[in-house]
Amino acid sequence: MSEHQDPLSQLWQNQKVEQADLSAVSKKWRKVRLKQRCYVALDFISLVIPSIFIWFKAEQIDSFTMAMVLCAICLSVVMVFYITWLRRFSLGWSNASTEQHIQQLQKQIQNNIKIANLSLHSVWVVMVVFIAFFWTLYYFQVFSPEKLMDKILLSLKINAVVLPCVWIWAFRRKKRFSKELTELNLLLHGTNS
Amino acid sequence: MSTDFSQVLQEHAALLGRVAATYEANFHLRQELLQEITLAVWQALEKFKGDSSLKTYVLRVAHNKAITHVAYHARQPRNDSYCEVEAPKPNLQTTTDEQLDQQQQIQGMLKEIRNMPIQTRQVVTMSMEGLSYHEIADACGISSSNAGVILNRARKVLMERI
Repeated sequence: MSEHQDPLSQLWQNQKVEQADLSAVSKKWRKVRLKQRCYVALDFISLVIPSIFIWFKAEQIDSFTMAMVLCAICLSVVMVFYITWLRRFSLGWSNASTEQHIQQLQKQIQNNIKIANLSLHSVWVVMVVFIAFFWTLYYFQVFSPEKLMDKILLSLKINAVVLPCVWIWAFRRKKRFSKELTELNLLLHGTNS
Repeated sequence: MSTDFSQVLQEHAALLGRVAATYEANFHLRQELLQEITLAVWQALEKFKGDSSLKTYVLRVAHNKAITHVAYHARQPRNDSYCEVEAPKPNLQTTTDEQLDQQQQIQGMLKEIRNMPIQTRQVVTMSMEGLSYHEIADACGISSSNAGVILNRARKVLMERI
């Protein structure tokens, strides 16, 4: 290709462009690496601390509550693996061909929408689980009615604060990822007729 | 940052700047994209096995990162109206009419390129960076003949509109 004679290539090469600040890039890389390590540590802590707590408090917890807590932990581990699998394409860079990269990117955004949907639906699932949990405690008379009522009120207060926040957060994420997917599809087709 | 990688990045700095300009009109977002592209290329250099030329490899990683960036920043406007950082203005006192004309032509060309579909954008800019049909096809994941067809159509559009 004789780009030196080609006026378009000459024009292209003559454009004035900004250059990246390499020291800033190096600083950013250190930050990214620290962030990744923090995420790994957080995942580890979120699994280890509840396990330690349950281990030491096992004698004080009734068998039904213990079974529920263990079920919740098992479910959380499964969810962590599933979400990690859905995020498998979100690498920092890609040296695949652009065709493959775009397919992976589309798949990743679709997976992100799935994760946001899961978070949205987890709100009512948590409510159903709580109702089932307290109904079983009541049915088997694990606690006195006053103690059970205290526990229900406390759970309701916590849920009244946490669940709407989770719902709003998940809804916004779903909206954002849907817009990303639309934008990507627009880019793929271009705005030129 | 290792000296070798740093040298490679410095050698390809202008090329990476042009890739960023292909995807972002907004000065602030373009600066951010350029940093992201540079970081992605730096990370990817470790995995370079020499299957293609270094320039092709760098361009492939840079374009992939740019596509991810523009999809991620879908909520923000693509033009210069949203800009917290002022873009440097050309020095009108030392700029000749010919240079001004050239700058206008470049801006016109960039505007046309930014409106093209991603694949066309990539093919035409890689060609202007001096890559062969085969190298372009390899980077884009399409056949050489397809790359040729896309390039000829895009060049025709560009020549007509500039």
